[in-house]
Formats: sequence, structure tokens, C-alpha cells
Amino acid sequence: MKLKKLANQPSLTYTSTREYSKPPKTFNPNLQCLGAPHIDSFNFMLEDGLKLAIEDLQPLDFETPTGDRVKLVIEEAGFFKPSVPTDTVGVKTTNIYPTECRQRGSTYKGEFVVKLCFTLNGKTTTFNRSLGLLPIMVKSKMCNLAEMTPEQLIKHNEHPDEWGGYFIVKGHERLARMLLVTRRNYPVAIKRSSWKMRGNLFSDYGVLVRCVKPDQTSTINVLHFIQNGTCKIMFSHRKVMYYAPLVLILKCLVDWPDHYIYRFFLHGKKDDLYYVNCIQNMLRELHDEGLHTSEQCRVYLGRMFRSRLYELPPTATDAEVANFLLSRCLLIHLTDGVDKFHTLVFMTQKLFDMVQNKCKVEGSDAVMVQELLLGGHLYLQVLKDRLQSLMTVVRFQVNKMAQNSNKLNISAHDINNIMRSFGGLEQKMETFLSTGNAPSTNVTLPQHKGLTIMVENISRMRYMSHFKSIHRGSFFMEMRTTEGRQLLPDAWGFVCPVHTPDGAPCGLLNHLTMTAQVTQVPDPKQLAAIPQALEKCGMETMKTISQTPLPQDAYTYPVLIDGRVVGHLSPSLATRAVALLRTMKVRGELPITTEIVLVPKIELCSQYAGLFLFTTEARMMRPVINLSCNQLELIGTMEQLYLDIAVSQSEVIKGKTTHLELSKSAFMSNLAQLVPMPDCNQSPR
Amino acid sequence: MGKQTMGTPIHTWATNAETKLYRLQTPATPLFRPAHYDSIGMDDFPAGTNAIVAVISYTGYDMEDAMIINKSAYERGFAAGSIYKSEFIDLKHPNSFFQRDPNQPGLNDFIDEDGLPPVGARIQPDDPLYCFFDAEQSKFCVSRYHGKEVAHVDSVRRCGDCGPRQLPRAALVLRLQRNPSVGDKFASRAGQKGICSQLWATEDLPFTESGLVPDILFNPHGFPSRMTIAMMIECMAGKAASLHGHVHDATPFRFNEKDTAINYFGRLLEAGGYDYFGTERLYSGTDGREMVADIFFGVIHYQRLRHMVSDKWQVRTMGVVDALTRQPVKGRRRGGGVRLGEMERDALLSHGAAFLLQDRLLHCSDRTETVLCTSCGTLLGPVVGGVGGVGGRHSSKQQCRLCGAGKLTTIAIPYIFNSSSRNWLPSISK
Repeated sequence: MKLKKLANQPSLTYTSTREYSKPPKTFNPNLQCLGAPHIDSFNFMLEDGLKLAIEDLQPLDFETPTGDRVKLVIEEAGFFKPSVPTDTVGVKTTNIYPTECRQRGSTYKGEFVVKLCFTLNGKTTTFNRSLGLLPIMVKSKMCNLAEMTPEQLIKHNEHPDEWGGYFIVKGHERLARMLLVTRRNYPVAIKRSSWKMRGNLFSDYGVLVRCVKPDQTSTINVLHFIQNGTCKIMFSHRKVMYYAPLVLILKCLVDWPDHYIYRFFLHGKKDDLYYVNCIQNMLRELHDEGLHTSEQCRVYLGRMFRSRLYELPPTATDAEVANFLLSRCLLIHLTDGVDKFHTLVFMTQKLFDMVQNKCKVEGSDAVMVQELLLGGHLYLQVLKDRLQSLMTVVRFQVNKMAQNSNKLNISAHDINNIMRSFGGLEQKMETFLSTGNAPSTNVTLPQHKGLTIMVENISRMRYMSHFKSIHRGSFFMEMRTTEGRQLLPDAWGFVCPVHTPDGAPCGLLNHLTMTAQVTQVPDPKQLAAIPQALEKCGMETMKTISQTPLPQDAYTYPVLIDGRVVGHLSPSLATRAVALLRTMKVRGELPITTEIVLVPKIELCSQYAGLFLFTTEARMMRPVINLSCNQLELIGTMEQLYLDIAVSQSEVIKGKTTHLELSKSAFMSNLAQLVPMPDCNQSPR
Repeated sequence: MGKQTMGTPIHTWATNAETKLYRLQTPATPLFRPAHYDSIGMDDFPAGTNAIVAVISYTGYDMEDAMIINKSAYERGFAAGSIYKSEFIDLKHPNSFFQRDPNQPGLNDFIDEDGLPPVGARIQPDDPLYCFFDAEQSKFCVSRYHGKEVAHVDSVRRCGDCGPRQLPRAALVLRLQRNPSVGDKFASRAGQKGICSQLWATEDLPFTESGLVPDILFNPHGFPSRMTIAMMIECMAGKAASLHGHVHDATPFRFNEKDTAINYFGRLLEAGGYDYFGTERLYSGTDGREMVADIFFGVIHYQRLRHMVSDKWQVRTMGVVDALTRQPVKGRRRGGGVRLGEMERDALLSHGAAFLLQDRLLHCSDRTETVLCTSCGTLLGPVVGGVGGVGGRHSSKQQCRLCGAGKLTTIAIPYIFNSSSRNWLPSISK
């Protein structure tokens, strides 16, 4: 990234030249960034997200009462640009532009087509079917305004610096609200008194991880500390929470002998007798239940959950049921059982450190452990849920047909009828955007109401601030305590301390600062370079560790990339490794949106130590100047806690300060920066 | 205050159908502004005007954050604004269509042949607005303008669709002129908001040595408790900027204790021949004598806020009442009243304003006349007229059913008291 030239002095040149009357040649980057997080997330949905979501759908595969085997797979899905129906005559252009929808009070929507593969007794028919017109985000890749120059935009009745990012539903501009949610794939140490109610002997300590798959499906797992010194994992399926003993799950994940598992638990923890005892107890406890091998554990788990998982065919074995559960409900961001095992071990160590007050509780209210729920990701989740319910409707209809006849025979006409009974998605998606109410089944969202807002255009400032607003969630609106409303120090530079309304939403409705941006999905090629770079720096990978165990008495930093334990790094190498990674990041060899957090191991009770790397989308990042290479570097919310950032040049301490803020007023939002001389007012408004 | 300013929300005035838009007709770019103002191109969407402000307590009409606006400035278009309201007209039946009723020649003055008002037409309250043929009732229907203000038709649009069964639809955009009036809200960018309390004639306002008359008189009492130093700096900076033809930087943290903003702008003012502290001698508008005080005088960017008296005034003598209680309804839209609650009642009581209290709570509310038996003192007993007798006797005399005596009188009481005393005692009233 290059250092951008920021305007330093206001001037009258813009309004006093003749060019003023002409449309600008290029977009104003400061304005385009308003719509960027929304558009990027929607574009992700259009391209990779939808593909991933369709692959992740549970295919329909069942047997009717008549003994016919029916299978339905959605093979492909895609959007079309908003246009008039193909058979329309007498139109000048087939494209529909946003201005028309605004003037006509209609919805800006494009056709959504799926390719369905229907198999009946081995005979397959493939057909394309439109599921109606779905709302399209303005200026996304499927919008007719994408790629237009300011001059062309003016021709199409838009403002030259139109930034898009919203939907037009019934003539109103609606924006998916950016919600603050727990940072994905990072185990957070939390103390929550309500957890005591979760069961007998449950304590208020737990390590919570919000796991997010690449297609943005998310679930929450909590590793609870039980007061008898054991651990239980919470996972949920169809909104019902279940608790399972830690070791049972571990043994289901890997088929390893007890001592081998025990060794992983003990890395660097040999002198912690309480911990060692607890682990030993937990391992023994399972044998008391008569579960000795991984196979036995899986069968046991499968047997217990069989009746709850009715989406599985009755022919599935107990072990298959267990596998389904482990892959769909437990640490879903990881696909490999061994990875899940290592992450669970990491979480256990963190939990026991927290319980023994060896590390601090992080809490879920700090911006450091938060990221954003973006419009496109939300849209994708709702769409995915709708497609899954399409499957359910088909199953129901086919079963109904099977009841009426003794031999099932489904023609193309019948399939059409079945699809018609489903009714398409047009109305449902439109209602979702116009009311902000998400379907409450299956989708894991922080809230199911108030997900979209209307972009009021009372004045320019108000209009702009909607796009940078972030909300803590409606749950906190009802809470009487001020916990969720507090402005914590780690919000510096990301959340504007000035720009929050008075009254009920005070502290819950915040605004991103001018420079804060939201990360996009990184380039997978660059992503692959991270583990290699770490290995070069002397990291011991999990592969080598599983062969030659780490010394139990020497501390090593666990290294996590997006919630996956990739190895351990000795403290002597850590600082240099981080410096190298940071240089590579600034140079662009690693994704520039990588967040490199080295939480140092110190004697005092502090945040749980380790080297954490985050590359995923939807995190907040902001640019600062990296002094070592004098270039812009994007830093994340957790990353900035462990960096030395000077506000002005005069504050730089040689050898200590590594970064410099872009300007003294970079911590304020777009609107707060428009206040003249706020430093001279007693209460800046 | 920025979020509730009237300004320039859009440029596509002719091609929009936003429910409500506020527009400032005479905006200007601020002379004292942060660098960020330029970097996000706020000059394309200006919201506010540069006003000549005198910080002076002058007429007594500027108490409690009120401010006085120069009437000539108002007449020149100071902070003139308008509101755009759009309305979609949906016909319910696909065979209905917009057309002026040919049998009502009186409509020709208001509605074009296509059943919609002409662009630019001036519409008074209760004028015919549009006309359509209703296929369900097989007759022409005329709809009237229900607003309470004069409006102009800004644009008229027919909306089509590609669907097979489309319902006729039209969009009307009306423009309401909203020039500043007494009671409208203004604010400087330092959050100093106030209500315009008078449009004061120019000849009666104070003037400077050079004959300059302020646009706005701001009460100096607004400063001490609020400590909005930025507004004072802006006053000096704005003055310096207009003197030298500059625009000054208002980015925070650019000045410090040693190099103060006041010194910087003060020296600029001095260079322009003005007082270092931005003060000037003013001459009274009433008698022309010099006022023996230095008056802080300069240019401040003022915003007009969207809260206007025309949207909020509420007045009522008689009108809609609740069907059950016969008390006035609430809500401005329905022509309701303002609530005179317990605390207001207490205040009136403590002042001993008994007649006012009676007027508010009885005469202007649910006063009703009813018959009372003076001997037993009940509302429930009296029977007026020759309804069936008490104790089997038929009589046309007015009498009380309870005590049998005939001394009845008419009193005025709240209706709710009368009705609820009957409702709560069903066994007696039967």
C-alpha cells in the first residue's frame, strides 16, 4: 500500500474553478469506501459464497413409502442483472436501472436461477428453474451501474459519486445493518453468570468460539468448566443446545491412545498439578462408562443423537450419525478431525488458565474480540436457509404424491407443480429486506429482527453516516446494565467515541471511524504462504510435534491461523518471526489484511498468550504508518493492542514505537470530523 | 445537529420519489472548515448559510436560546427552504384509469385531462388533486388535497410495470415552501441551537460603523455555561476569511496553548483593520446612539434544522372527541389537544387559577349536563319525564327513584364521571 495524500488544508479551489460544473473524472475514494464493505460482501456472495453454500446444502436423499428412491441436488445457482422480462416488446433498453425503481416505487431485483438435478430410482433429470426475482445490491457486480464512470452515472440519474451498497425495496433504500458479533474462529475466554444455569455444577467460566465456515454459516461452541474439574462442550443443532464431555468428543475425533492424547494436553503445563489431575480424571471417567476406543465413543454418540437428527436417512449407521454431528455442529470452521482435536486442546488449556486466574477474562464486549456481520453474508445465509427449505418442501410433496399412488412416477409436469407449490423466493427475500425480519429456522444470527434499516436521506451527513453505522445488537437494547454500551479503550481508531446517539441506542449504535475498513476474503494463493513463512521462522508444525513431543517444562507459543493450531513457536524466535511476517505483509507477500497478534507471555496475569493470525473477512482494520518501512499497514482490532503506535511524530520513541497514526483526528468518524474545532468545545456534538 | 440539517440531500430533484426531502434554497460553503470537509466533497451538498452574527442581547426577544433574524435578510432569501413530499396513488382495479371527469367542468382549473394535476400548479387545501374512473363503482372519483398548507406540484409521473395484470399507478411530488418563520430552529455547528423568536426590521437593528447590520442576533448568555469556544473562534475566523478572501482550517489539534487560534485569527483581523478580539462598536437601531460596549461581531456558518413550526403547531378549541369518554383526543394529525396532565394541574392549582383549571378540565373537555336529586344527592336516582312510576303510581312529575322526593336540579359535571358512576354501580342503576 502506498501512502495516500490526505488533504491538509481546506481550500476554495474546487468551487472556484470552471471544472466545478463538469462531472469528475474519477470517484472520490473517501466516498466510495462508504459502500465498500456492503458491496464486497455481496460480491463475495455472488461469486464464491453462493457456490460454497450450495455445496454445503444437505442433499435430499430419501425413500418414499412406496419404496422409490428420490434424490434432489441443487447443482448451480446464479443471479442475473435486473432487466425486463425477455418477451417484453417496445422497450428502449432491457436493463433496469436503480433510478427507475426509486421513481416507480418498485424493487431493484434480478432473476435467480437454480440448476436442479432430480433423480428418481437412478433416472436423472436436470433442469433450470427460476426462483423469482431477488433484490440486487446497488453497485454490486450484478447491478447495471457497476463499472460505470461518474459521467455515465449522471446519465443514469445517479450522483457522480454514488457508492451503492444498499437495496431498493419498494422504492425505499434499505441497508443491511452491520452488526457487531464475536470474532470468528477465535476462542474467547468469557465469564458469564448465566452459564451457571446451564446445568448441575456448571461454573460461569467458559471458552466461547464462534465458528464460521467459508460460506458464512456460523455456529457457537462453548467449552464449559464444570466445578468438579471437568469440561463439557456445548454445541447446538436446530436451536437446541447439547452438552457433551470433552474427552468423549476428543476420542470421537481421533483414534489415539490415551497417553498420546494426554501428552498433547501437557505441553508446557507440567508444573500445573491441578490441571494435570483434572485431565487425568477426565480421561479415566470415560473408561468408567465403558467407552474405551474411538469406535465405541462414536457409536455411543451416534446412538444418543440418532432420534434428534431426522434429516439423516434411517439407513445411516451410528458412526455416521456421529460423524454428521461432528462435522456440522462442532468447530465447523475446521474440516479435519485432528485440527479440531488440537483446537479443543488449546481451548482446554486456555480455560484452565482462566479458571486458575493465570490469564484474564476477555469478555465479549471488547471490540478486540469482535467483527462485523455484513449485508452480503447475511443475505447469503438467508438464501441458503431458503434453498434448504426448498428441499424440505420437495420431500413433503413427493411423499404426498407417493401416498396417492402405489408406484411413484414423476414427470416434468409434476416437478413443475412441486416447484410451484414452493412459490419461489421473490416474496420471501423482499419481505426479509423490507422488514428486516430473518426466518428464524436454522440460521444462526445474533438477532432475527431489525436486520435492515432504511437509509433516510434527511441531509447528506445523515445519509452518509448510515453506511458506517455499526450496531451491537438488539439483545443489548433490553439489557439494563451498561456493559454492552461502554466505550472500551481497544475501540480506539475503529469506533468513533463521539458519534453515538443520545438516548436508548447510546453506545449500542456506533460508527466506524473514517479510516476503518472491513476486510475482504483474502487471496487463497497468498494464504498458503503463511504456514511456509512460519516454518521458515522456526515454528514446529503440528506434524513434527505429533512425532517428537514438545518438552513439557519449556513454554512455547501456540500458533493459530484462523482458529487452527498449526504449530508451536519458541519464545526466543517469536519476536523475529512476527517482524518478518509483518514485513511480508506490508510488502504484499502475505494478504495485506492479515492480522498478526503476538500476545506475549508475561509473569503478570494478562490475556492468554500465543501467536494468532487472522486472515478472514468481515474484520475491522485501519491503516497506520509502519515506521520500519515507512509504508501504510492495515492493523486489526486485536493487533493494535500489542503495537506501539505514536499519535504524532513528536511522540515517537526510538526503538520502541513501531507505528504512527495517519493523523491526529483519525479516530473520529466521517461526521465527527466535520465539526469545526471540536477540541475547543466542551461537549462536541 | 448536522444530521437534522436542511440542506442539499440529493441533486436528482426532478427524478426522485423519496417520501420526504428537505431542501435549503440558498446554501453556502462554510468559511471555517476542517480539511475533511473538502476530502468528502461536502461542497457538492452544502447545508447551511454564512450569517453575520452579533453576539448581543438586544430586544428581550432573545431569552433562553432564542435568536433574532434580520427581516431584510429573510426577505433576501436567508435560509429559505422547501419540503418535497411524494405520494403514490394506486388504483385498486386493473380496469380503472386516470381521467378527468368530463361532466365536472369545475375540475378543469385544477386537473389536466389525464386526471392528474399539471406540473407547477398551486394547490390550496381541499382543492381537487386527481381524478380517476373507478371500474368497481363504474364512476369517476375525485380525490382532494388533504394537506393544511399551500403546495406546488413539482412532478407528476405515471408508473408502469412489466407484469401481466398491472394496476394503474401514479406518483405525485408536491413542494411546500418553507421560509424561516418565528419558531423555526437554527443551529451553529458548535451545537448552539435556538429558535427564531422574531423577524426584526433592519432599521431597528444595531449597525456597525460601516453600516453593516447583522443577520442574526445571538444572545451572549448562550456562551458562559456551554463553553463553546469553537463558535467564538469560528466567528473570528469567518470574519477574517471574508475579509481576506480565504477559507480557514478548522481541523482539530492544529493549534495549541502556545500558538492559539485566537491569536492567529486576531492578528489576521488586525491586519484587516478590525479589532484584535473580533469586537466592534455598534449603534443602536432605535435611537442611533453608540452603544458603550464592544460587541462580538463576525461570520458564523448557521444551519437550518428540519424542526419547523408548520409541522408542529397544534391548536384546538372544539373538535374531535373520544367516543367513549367524550374527552378530546390526542394527536396533532387528528386535530387533537395537548395533554394537561397532573403536573400541569398542580401548577394551576398552586397559582390558584381555579377558573382556568375549570375551563381546561371541564368546559373545554367533556362537560355534560345531568340531573341530580338535591335531597339524596345522587346522580343515579332521578327520573325525568313520565317514564314508569315509582311504586306503581303513574306520574309525569320529575322525581328521584331512590328517595321518592321530587327536588331535582341540573348540574354540569364531566361526562366521564357521569357515565362511569353508572357503569360501576350496575346493581343500583338497574
